Amino acid sequence: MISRTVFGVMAALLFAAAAGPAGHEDATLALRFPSGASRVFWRASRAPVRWAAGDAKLRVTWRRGQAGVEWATLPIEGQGEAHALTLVLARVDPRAVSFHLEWAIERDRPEWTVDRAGGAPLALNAGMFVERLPWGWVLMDGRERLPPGHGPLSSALVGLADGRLVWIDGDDVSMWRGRAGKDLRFAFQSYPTLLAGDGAVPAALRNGAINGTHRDARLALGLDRQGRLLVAMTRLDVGLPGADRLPLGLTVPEMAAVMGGLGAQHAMLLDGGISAQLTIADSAGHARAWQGLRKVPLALVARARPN
Amino acid sequence: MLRPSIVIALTVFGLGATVAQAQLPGLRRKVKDAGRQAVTGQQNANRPPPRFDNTILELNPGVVARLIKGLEARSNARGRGGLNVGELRRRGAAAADEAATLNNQHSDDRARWIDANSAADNCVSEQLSHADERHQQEMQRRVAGMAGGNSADMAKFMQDYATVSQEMQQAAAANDSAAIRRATVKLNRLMGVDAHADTVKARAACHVPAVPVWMRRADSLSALGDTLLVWARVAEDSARVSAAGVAGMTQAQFAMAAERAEGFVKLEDRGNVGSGYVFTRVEEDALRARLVELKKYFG
Repeated sequence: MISRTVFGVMAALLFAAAAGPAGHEDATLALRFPSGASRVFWRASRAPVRWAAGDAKLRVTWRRGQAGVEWATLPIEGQGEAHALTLVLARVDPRAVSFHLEWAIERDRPEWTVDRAGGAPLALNAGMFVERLPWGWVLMDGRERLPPGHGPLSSALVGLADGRLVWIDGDDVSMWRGRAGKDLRFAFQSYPTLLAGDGAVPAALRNGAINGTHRDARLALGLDRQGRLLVAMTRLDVGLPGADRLPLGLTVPEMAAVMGGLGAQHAMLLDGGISAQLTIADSAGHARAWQGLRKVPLALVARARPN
Repeated sequence: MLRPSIVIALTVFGLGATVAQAQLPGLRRKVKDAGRQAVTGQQNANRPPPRFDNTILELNPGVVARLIKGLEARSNARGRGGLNVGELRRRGAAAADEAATLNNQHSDDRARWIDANSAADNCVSEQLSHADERHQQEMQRRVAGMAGGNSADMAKFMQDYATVSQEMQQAAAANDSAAIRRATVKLNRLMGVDAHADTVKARAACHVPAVPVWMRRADSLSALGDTLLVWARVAEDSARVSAAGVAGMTQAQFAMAAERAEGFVKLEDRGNVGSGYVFTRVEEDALRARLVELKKYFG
């Protein structure tokens, strides 16, 4: 058996060997196979301006979670620090679950972690925050807690009382804001937008207006063309216990490619870096948790819909 | 992308080391040292250094010192009412918590009140609708009486009606709700309608439930909590700008430096696993030297 120590050394050496100079070459994303082979599925120089459909090359083997939830892990590789990543993916049918926002600021500190999900079919940190409070619009239980934020590259997810999800591209939420207290259950904003309209990659992600080289752990949320909620999170996959939560991962344009490739019509990033965390209950009800390094003030939790 | 040859070479190395550990204590010690370096993030000559640019600054001793000044400024920044950001957040949370406690204690009471109020609302609407019908019939009788008798009364009425109507149109065009309210009162008076009396009568007839004291307090606390939360976030936003200025950084540089420093603190809490992947040796030394202060903001 290879000891943990040797495994750590191997991981470090693998990391060092593979992390070549990035940014001077055409960025690519590839699937990694157990054999060590890989297959490129996205190339920056030929990146689609619009994802009209998912990428058939991204063959995801979805596993059943709790009712309405499917999940998968997909080993991928990119450049530099992203040479060995795992994508943790989830796909949720909103008709089968009930989404809730959970507010978790206690004694003036964010307190939510996936450990608080209580066996929920799916839970993850929601929105974006810079210091303690969430950025942008937060509406919970039909009541607005925080007013909308403004920025052209923001998007919003709205949950209606009947369970449907509505995606808002851009920062104009006025039409839906007026329905607070009527048929809105929850809403929150985040940024940057990864895909808008019908799978279009925003110009800012293609022309360099958004930093296209900074790598970080990422967490993205989207809606596919069947109205399912898509979640994608990156984890560093270097074999060091605990290293999966290090804030290293993909660039923003690469995350747009991941979401487009998965078939998302709309998508946005949630707070990544040391905040990103996700838990999914498998088909037997066992929670699989990908921890973050810090506690967050807001979470999106999917619970089983009562019969 | 990994070259297969590297994978094979390292796999051989890994397996070889496992066998060798049992036989050669010297080699085992070397492997352990290397492993500890990898696991604890200590300096590894082969690791790729983090890349620094115009947004990501190297957290050397000078930058860490500036960051701490900025963090201190951020935590002391004042918002509405002269309260600092933390006080605004705490007071907002306290109000929201008290409201939640009251609502939890009276959740059935609120549900009953909402049902009773909703039924009473329907009843009031019906009563007001009947009152409107009565007023219309009275108005028709009055106009018919004026037409058959005193033409001066009729002329006066028509003149007053035209004046108030014009006033109402102008108020509506200007979207002036106060003027609309004033014109509505005049029109009602002209028509012999006392809307307030009608409403009071209807509410009494329909037994509209009074808002219980606890509910009034809970709703008021909720509103206060929301207001303070909004003020806190406004203060957070402006504090971020001023903190970056104090640190001598752009907002993006400050945000990234704070995020990375917080990451270091959290990694330290968890045994420093993988720190070497994210921070240079210079950064680790600089951050560790100021760890106690950094924990004040990120602990």
